[in-house]
Formats: sequence, structure tokens, C-alpha cells
Amino acid sequence: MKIIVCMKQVLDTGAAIQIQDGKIASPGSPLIMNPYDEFAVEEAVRIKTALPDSDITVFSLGPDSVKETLKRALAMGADHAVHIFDPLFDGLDNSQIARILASAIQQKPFDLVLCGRQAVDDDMAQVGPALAVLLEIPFVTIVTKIQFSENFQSADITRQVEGGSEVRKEVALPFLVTCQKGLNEPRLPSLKGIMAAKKKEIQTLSASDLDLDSQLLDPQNKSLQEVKLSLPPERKKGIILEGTDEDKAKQLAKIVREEEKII
Amino acid sequence: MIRKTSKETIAPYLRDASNYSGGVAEEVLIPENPEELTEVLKNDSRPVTIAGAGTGLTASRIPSGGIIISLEKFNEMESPENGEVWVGPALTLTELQESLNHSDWFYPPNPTETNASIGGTLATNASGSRSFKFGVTRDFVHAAECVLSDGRKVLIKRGHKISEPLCMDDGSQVRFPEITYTSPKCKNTAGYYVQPEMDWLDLFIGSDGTLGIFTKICLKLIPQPAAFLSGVLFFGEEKFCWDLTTAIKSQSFVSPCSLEYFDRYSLEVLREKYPNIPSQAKAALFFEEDVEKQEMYDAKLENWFNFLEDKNILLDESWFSQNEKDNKTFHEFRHEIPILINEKNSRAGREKIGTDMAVSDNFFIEMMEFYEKTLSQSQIPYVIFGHLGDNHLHINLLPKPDQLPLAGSVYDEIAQKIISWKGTVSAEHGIGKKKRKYLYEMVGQKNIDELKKIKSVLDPKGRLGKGNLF
Repeated sequence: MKIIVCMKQVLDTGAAIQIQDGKIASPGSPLIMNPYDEFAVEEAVRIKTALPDSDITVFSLGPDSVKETLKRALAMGADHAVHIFDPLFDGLDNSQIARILASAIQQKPFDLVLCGRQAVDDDMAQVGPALAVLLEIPFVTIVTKIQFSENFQSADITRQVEGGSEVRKEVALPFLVTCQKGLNEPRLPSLKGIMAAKKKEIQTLSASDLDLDSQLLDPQNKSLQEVKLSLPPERKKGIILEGTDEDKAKQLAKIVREEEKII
Repeated sequence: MIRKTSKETIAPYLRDASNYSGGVAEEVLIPENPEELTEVLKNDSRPVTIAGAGTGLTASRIPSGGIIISLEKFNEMESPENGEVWVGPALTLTELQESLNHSDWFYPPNPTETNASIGGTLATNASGSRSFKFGVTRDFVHAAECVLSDGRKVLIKRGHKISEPLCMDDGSQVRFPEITYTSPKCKNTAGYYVQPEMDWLDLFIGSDGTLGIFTKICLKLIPQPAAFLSGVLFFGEEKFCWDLTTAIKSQSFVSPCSLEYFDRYSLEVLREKYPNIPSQAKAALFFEEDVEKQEMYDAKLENWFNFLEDKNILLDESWFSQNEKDNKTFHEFRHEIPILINEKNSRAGREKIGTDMAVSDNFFIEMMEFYEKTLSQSQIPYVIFGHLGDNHLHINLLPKPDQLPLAGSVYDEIAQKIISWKGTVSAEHGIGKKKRKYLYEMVGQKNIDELKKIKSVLDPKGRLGKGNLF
């Protein structure tokens, strides 16, 4: 089975962020694989374990730092990595990114596309479904289980819905799924995996390597315009009351009545 | 100076992490500066117990009378320079480490409890996982300002030997008494540190709050490593992990700074939170190696690969770091074990009895086999984890209520054996009030009398840390 995984590099979920010149900045914070994309990589590796003839290619679009995260996917067990990078791709919206990915993926045959359910930085959840539409294949989102048929020609796919789950029966390959927490427990890289990843090459594709419509990259054609970024309002600092229990109760009553005017 | 005199405001100072109850204090004094501290000591004659951050495991800070002096206002930190930094004793390890993260400097001691105050880590000579390569707190103190129980002050510097008297600020002198006792060579913090020709500084470090009060401390720093390479190795049998540790110690190809053990029962506890622990794993070893310069990273990784390749390890299933975040994940994995055990214990309403014993390298395998045999035979639930590289493991006995007396005698049996191997009953937690019995057993009455001689030249009235050690 030819498996494609789409992966995004994001800021560590614990990073403290600032906004500088209209962009999110967090100098010195680690960059990681989008946690939902880790489920996608892990699922691909598990399918390969069950079906050893499989071949896994991971695609990622972004700056040079993305290579580090691609190496992680290789260490987890992916066979090939493709880094899509071109200064022309800077600041594109989700549908434009989906078009670039589609163009790169279509260069070779494939049976299955795995994406994360969304990236944890902008939480858009757009690229996966848009990509499926462009590749003209069915998609199932927020997936927690993929049960392949014996001949690996179709699968029963479980997706999470509010309050429970639903199963899409016998979805024929090729299809795209977006992976949700619960699908699997992503592995930590093994030493052998890391050493093997060192020997695997990362292919780089730029705009000229892809069959792209020149109209596509025009910033005027963005279907999504970012107006402004701002941080959430800062939380007020808590107060710690001191003194005996009686003192503290009196102070609290005063605050509740006179400052907060709750009673 | 703040004084806390009511029962409610004193109560928080009568607790630490030892579960010791029954502490009593007349009041809590919180001096704002060293002058206020010396004034109190000169003008008050009551016993004094010093309070740090309350993370100790031996009740050293819980008094049975007199007053508590909390140094919580002494939490300043100067900027690091030339491999040194001056800090107040109340600065916490977390605060120190976080400020150093943004500098070129690194403080190697990493006791597991990072809410501990630096003063507290000096009082117990705390260590943590990285002591295997870098050494303990004692190795990273350059100087300290110290106040004795009568209010006399002294700046003690490294190189200031006990063969010379300690010269106090009022012109008086303190001489080290003539004694023959020397402390064990293994990682140890039971009783005073005594070695021939040692520095005065080394005596005060690890003295459980009984000899003097640190008001300002100069710590030694090393250049910040460019990276850490770390991993969690899994084994099909515990013995394979012990053998690997012996193998690591007898070569210089790889040079880990931490070697931390998890026995099969520790892994059972951890599996609740880490379902990706390989199912066939019966033991694990967390290791990390500091990488001085980034360009050395790949070569070091290769060294580890070559070294581990033919060893008895579940290598395909073992975890390795690829970035700083993985290192953090593995450190959390190590820190999670005592936390999970404590949670599990309080849910079950059980008491935890923890050991802190260590021996020298030549008794390592014998010690592991003895632990395995004694604990299995006892039928008491237990876990073993900790600093395998230093032959220093924490056994947590988790007895059911009717097994409590048995657990006490198992602890005694283990302590006796460790003592017979010239090991220590406390490698990093200190003696405090909870482990006095074992210090007596370890050093004997004659040596206790010698240690008391040291106490009597520095604190003749026995005011400081009453009930700790003796």
C-alpha cells in the first residue's frame, strides 16, 4: 500500500507566545510535530507492520526547520520524506496549501492519505478535507479507528461524533482520513529508528517542481484574509488573604460586597 | 521582622514532606535581612529550627519546641559571572534553573524535588540523578556566609581547611575537635561529613541544620551543555539492566550523567500513564549524557548505538530523544514514579516506607540480589527505583495495615545489611528526626560521641535544629 502522510511543524503546545509585526513569535521555544499528525504517522507505521510491502511518504510544507520534524517521522518508521519549500509559499491560506500538497502528492500513485484532524497552532482543520476534494477521493474526519478488510481494499472507519462514534462501513481505497486522539499511541523514536533515519534522504520540492497554476500563488486569490492577531486579555492576578481565619473571612466578605459587588 | 504567633499561622511550618506529626513551636520569626537574624540569635535563648521550603523527607525542619526561623525572605539571586552565582538560601531550585536557562551557565545538581530551597539542598547535601557524573551539592558550593547559633558570623570559602581555625567576625576562633571518625566513602549524607584535611565548608554542607545558618551561598556553575542525549532503555529481565549498569561503569566509550532504574513493579505503576511501555519490559533504565558542543552530538549518538547494539536490551522498543521535548518527556517519566506511588498510596490509605540507602560499587550486584530476595520473601508490595549508577535506590515498601510491623522489621534487616557493607542509611535525604535510630546503628555510640564534639564546638548550647541527628 502506498501511504501518504501530511505533517505540519508547530510550536510546542506549552510555548509562551507573543505577537510581533502581526505574526506569532516565540523565540527559543521548541518546534514539534503537530500532535494529531503524530497519530497519522503512527497509524501509517502500524499499517506497514501489518502489510510489510507498504511504503510511507511524509509531506510537509514550511521553512527549513521542518526538516527536523520530517526526520522524526523517518525515525518513527516512515520510508520517504518530502519537504515542500519556496519563498513564494509564504503566507498562503489553507486552500492554497491544500492545492500545493495535492499537486505534490499527485506526482506518484497512492492508496491512502493520512492527516491530523487539525493543526494545534491555528486549529483550522481545513487542509485535510480540502486536499481530499482536490485529489478527488472520499474523506472521513476525526477518525479513531481504521479497520481494513482482509485484502486491504476497503476499511470500516470509526469517527468521533458528539457523544459517541459512528462507523463508515466499507469505504473503498483510496481515501483520506484525518486522525484523532485515541486512534493509537504514537511511539517514541527508537535508537535504531534514529540511526536508520540518518540514512534516509529528505527530498525538497519547490514551486518550479510542481505543476501549479500561477494564479494560485497570487496573494489576491486568498480566500481567507487575516485581519489582526491579538493575545487573549490577561487574567487578573489572584489575591492571597492573610491573617487568622476570622480576619480572612472579614476581608473576603468586604471584597465580595464592596469590590466585586456580588452580594 | 515578621512574627507569626497564632496556631493557624504557625501550623504550615510544622509540616514537611515526611508525614511527621507532633511538631511544636512557640512562634515563627521571618527576618528580612541578616542583621535581623543575628539580633534574634544574640538576644533570644530559645532553641531555633530553621525552615526552608518544607520539601524535606526527614522532619529536619519540624521542631519539638522553641522557635522557627524561616529564611523565606532570603531569596535573592545575583547574575552569574565567571562560573559562580551568589544566591539567597530561600531561592528554589526551579527559580535557579529557570534563570540559568537563559544564560551560558548550568548548575548540575538536580534533586528530584525542584521546589526545594537551595539552603535546604545544602543542609541535606542533596544530589539527584546527575550526581552519577557531576557529583553532589557539596561539589558545587564555592563559599557561604554562615551565622552560628549565638549570632557570630563567618564567610567560609573553599580551601579553608579544618586544620586552621574558623575565624568569626568578632575576632573569636573555632577549632575543629580532635576526633578519629571519618564518614563513608559512598554517596552519603548520614551524620556529619568528616574526612582528613577537608574544608570547613564541607562540614556545614549536609549538617541537617544543626551547625550553622547559611544566609548567602556562592554556587559553582559549569558551561551550559549544548544539548542532552537521553533515552529510556527497556529490558526483558531486571538482571540485564543491572549488568548493563556494570558494563557502563567499566568503559569510557559512553559517559552518561544519569542512570536511573525502574524495577518491574515501577513499570507496572507507570503503565497506567504510559501505555506505550513495551509489554514484555520487566525493567527500565533512564540515561542521559550531556553534549558539550552541538557538533559532537551525532558522534555521541553513534557511540551509544555501537555500545548498546550487542547488549541484552529490548533495543527496538527502547526510547531515544531527538529533541529537547523528548528529554523533558523522559525526565517527567522519571519524576512521575514517586508521584504516582504517593497518589496510589493515599487512595488506598496505605503508609509508604521509603529507603535512601547506598553502598560502594563493589557491593552493587550483591545489594540488588539481596533486595530482590528479601523483598520477594516478605510478601509486602514494593517498588524499587532510583539512582542505579550510584548504587543508591529508593525502595518504597507499601504494606497493608496488618503488614506494618513486618515492614518495620524488613527495613531494619535491609539497614543492617547495608551497614555491614559499610554503606549508608541515608545517601541524600538526611537523618533529621526520622532516621536517628539508623545513624546510631550505622556509626555506633563512640562515633556518635565524636560527632557530638563537632556539634559542641559550633553550637555549645545545642540550640540549632534540636532533635536532628542526635
